[in-house]
Parts: sequence; structure tokens; C-alpha cells
Amino acid sequence: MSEVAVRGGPAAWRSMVGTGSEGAGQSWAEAGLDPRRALQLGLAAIWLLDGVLQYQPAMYTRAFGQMLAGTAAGNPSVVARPISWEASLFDHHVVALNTIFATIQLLLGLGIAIRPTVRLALAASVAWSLAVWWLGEGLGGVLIGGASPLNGAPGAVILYALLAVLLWPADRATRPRFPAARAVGAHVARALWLVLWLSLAYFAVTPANRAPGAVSGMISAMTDGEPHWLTGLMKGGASLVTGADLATSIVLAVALAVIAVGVYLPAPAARATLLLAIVVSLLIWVFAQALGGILAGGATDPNSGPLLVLLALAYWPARMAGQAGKKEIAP
Amino acid sequence: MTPAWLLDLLAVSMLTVAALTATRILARLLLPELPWRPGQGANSVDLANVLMGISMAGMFTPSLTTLPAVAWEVVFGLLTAWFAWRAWADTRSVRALTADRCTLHVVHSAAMLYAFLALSAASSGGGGMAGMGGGGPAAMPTLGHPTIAGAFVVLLVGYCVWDLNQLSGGRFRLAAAGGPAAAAVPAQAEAPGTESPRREPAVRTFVLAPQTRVGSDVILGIGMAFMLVIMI
Repeated sequence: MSEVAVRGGPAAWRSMVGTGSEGAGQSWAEAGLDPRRALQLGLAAIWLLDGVLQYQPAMYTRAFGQMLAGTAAGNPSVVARPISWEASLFDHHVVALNTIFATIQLLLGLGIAIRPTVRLALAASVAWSLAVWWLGEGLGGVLIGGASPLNGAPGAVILYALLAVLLWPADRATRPRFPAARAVGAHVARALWLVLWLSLAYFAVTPANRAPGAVSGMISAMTDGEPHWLTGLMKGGASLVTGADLATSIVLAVALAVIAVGVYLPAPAARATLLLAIVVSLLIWVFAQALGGILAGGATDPNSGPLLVLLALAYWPARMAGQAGKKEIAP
Repeated sequence: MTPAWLLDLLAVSMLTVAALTATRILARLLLPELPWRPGQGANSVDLANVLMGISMAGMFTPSLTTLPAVAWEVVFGLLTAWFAWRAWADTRSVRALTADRCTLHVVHSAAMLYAFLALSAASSGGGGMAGMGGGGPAAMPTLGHPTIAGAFVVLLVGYCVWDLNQLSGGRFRLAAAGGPAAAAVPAQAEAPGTESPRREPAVRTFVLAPQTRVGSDVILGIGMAFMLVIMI
């Protein structure tokens, strides 16, 4: 049908993304698609989506600036003051600043997708994510007790930075056991996973999140403007947990804690906990985050659900080739 | 409200892609050394890209509207059916489907068809489509069935990222002999001592290069995703 054909192979990919072909990257490349590159492309797609979402009409109104200002409330003054300054600046130059913000995010997505610029774009995405985490999300509400895994704690945008670090095109580990281990090594990667998911487990049972009506209220509050099928699902979910908010929080916290330690288990058990992480992330994304609110219009990003799934895939145990009987290695 | 100048900029981008692709079609028709066969898929892709560029420009900037919505619905309905048929005919394997990029063009055409149908439904009784820049927030059209729009946006963004990855890795070349293949084939592929192929003029090489077509697909895809997102 088309005159366009594809050439090249895994080796070309590795040379372009700087993953190298010696030892570490080889077993991944033999699978046809380098898993780390595939995850980078997933991250690029989410950044690109963020950029497009930021151009929505709702972002060009003063309401967006007021939303930014609202994230300062309750934070220590050293955190809140720059947020208020930025919100005020945004209020006065909403068209110019929002266009710049959207374009930056669009360029980050394009930069990660284009192989020669992947390092530059990932590095820039870390800096941008940290800035947005502070100035746009008020550090994800972690200092004010409002953070919950259901509403995207510890702030979806910090997960972009974490993924950028873990998917950095370098090979520190000589025998990477999972894609996230390649850039920072297995010990550091596992520690980052443990800290993230244990913090989520902690947030699930903070007083504000285990109070009567907290979980069901959070779900119900997200249904405004959503399509009927999604509203129906969410209302069904909310009615299931109504009156059992404490039990729901405890079950969620236990599941998150199991996920946290899962990467230290042997490969089959690790795989099971990673699968659990994916399922929990998707359930949270659909029932509590309403797919990030994208279908209702006015969302700036798809929230933490897809990022947590991407993160779990980055820890998926590798099937190492070139070893006797293709032995599986625990993450 | 998304600023009008931004929508105008996007409209210009879409028209540029349409003009570039139209030049590509003309070059294929007028240059005898480039084989053109009626029904060749590559030309239907080019034709579809020209139509998409023109129609999207009209959606971004109402003054650039060329045809009534119902005409575009017929056009994109036919294109969707055509590419779907080609995809079905090429279903030798999943690999053949992805390599021939049939599915991408099915998605592009179907997304355009959905946008026109959803806008028509939303504006029925309101005197037709105003377009996006149609004078103030009250005129901003909203798409019905946002779930379908969301699914299309995810697919379009996914294809854009995938194409950019492939494009930046130099993975596209001309499958057929002749034409501006030299633009995409690495220099070392030429055996020592063989005669160098005739050098193509740079502009012609650029217009006809497969990379240009894939780049056009990427720009149209991003434009389409943008269009759907701001109308959700």
C-alpha cells in the first residue's frame, strides 16, 4: 500500500539512544523492541498528551490561575510564597504563559520521541516536573495532609521526573534485571520503588483519608461532567465503599505495602506484585481519578494512573538470554 | 478560550502540509520517471492528507472553510471505508498491517469523520458549525461522545510518538526502486566502485521523500489530536 518501508534493527536503536550494545542492552534488544525505549515512548506519549491538554480553552481563563493559587493553601510559607507569586504572574499573563507551558510540554514529548534529543528532553523533563510539582501542584499536597493515592499523591508530575531518571539512556548495571535498573542500578531502583509505594500506603491511612466518607466522597466528587458510563461506574464504586471507608483505606494500604516490597521477591512473586500494582493503578485511575478527568474537559494531565502502570512495567523482571535455560532473574 | 492566533497558526500548518502533499501528487503525475499507478495506495494516502489538511484548516479557522460539513462527512466516510478495505485486504499478518501503515490512515480518516459527525450533531439546530475560532466562548463547539474523542486522541498521540521514533532512527526508506531513495538510504549501502546514482534536486528529494510523508502524518496527527482535545 505505501511506499514507506522500515529498515534498521535493534542495533541501530541502541546506537541512537545511547544504550550501548555491550552486555547490558543485548538481551533486551534481542526481543525486537528495547523495553526501555518502549517505556520512553510511553512517557513521550503522556507528555505529548499533557501538552495538547494544556492548550484547552479552560487553561486560558483566570480560573486556571486561581486553581494554581489554591495549591498554596496550607503549605509552609517557604513553599506557598513562590506559588502565590507564580499564580499572580499567571493571572496577569495567562495567554502568553499558558502557551509557553503547553509548548514546553509538547516539546518534551516530541524530544523524548525523537532519538537524538532523548537525553536533552529527559533532563529538561526532570527540571520541568520538579518546578511544576512545587509551583503547580503545591508539592502534591504531601505537606498538608491532603495527599491520597486516590487523588494522585504524591503528585502525578513528580512521577514524570522519577520515570525520566529511571529510563535515562545509560547502562550502569552490567546485568540489568529490569529496565529501571539499567540507569541507576538495581539497588537504587528498588529503593526508589519502595519509598514511593510505602509513601502511598502511608497516605492511604492518614486521618483525612480514613475518615468516614473520605473515600466515597473523593470518588463522588470526581463524577462531575464525566460521560454517563464512567459516572455510572464511579457511582457504583462509591456506593460499594460507602460506610466502609476505613476498611477500604486499610485494604488499599496493605495492597500498596505488598506492592512496595514486591520488587525484593523472587521473579514469579515479583511479577505477581507488579501485576497487582498495575491492577490497583488502573482501578484507582478509573474509579477515583475518572481517567484523569480528560473526558470532562479541563484536565491538565491524565493523573497518576498511567504513570504508575508505566513505572510497574519498568520493574518487570527480565528474561535474560544467553544463560543456561534462559533463567529468569528476580528484580 | 484558546487564542485565535494559535488556531490560525495551526490552520496555516495544516494548509502547508496540504500544499506540500499536493505538490507531491503533482510531481508524481508530471514526472515520467516516477511510476504512478491508478489505485496505488501511496497516492490515496497523499490525497487523504491533502483533504485532511484543508478540512482541518477550516475547522481551526472558519474563514478557511471550503465545503459544508456534510460533504466532508461523505469524503471521510469514503476514505475510512477505503483504508479499512485496504487494511482488510492486506491482513496477511499484523506485521503487514503495521508496516503498510494502513491502520494509521484508517484512524486518521475515522477521527475526521467522527469530528464532523459529532460537531454536526452538537450544532444541529444552531445553524451549522461555527468552527473553533467562531467568535467567543459561546460559539465554541463541543463534541458529543467524548469517550470516542479520547480514544482517538490516545491513538493519534501514540502513532505520532511511534512515527517520530522511527523517523529519527532513519528507519524509513523507499521500498520501490527509483525515486529519491538516496535520501533515506545510508551512504555505506553503496558498493565501492559502483556508479553513483543520479543526484536528485534537493527540493524534489524533499517533497518526494518518504520521511516527508511520515512527517506530514505526524503533523496532521498532532493537529487532529489538538482539534479533538480542545473540543471535548
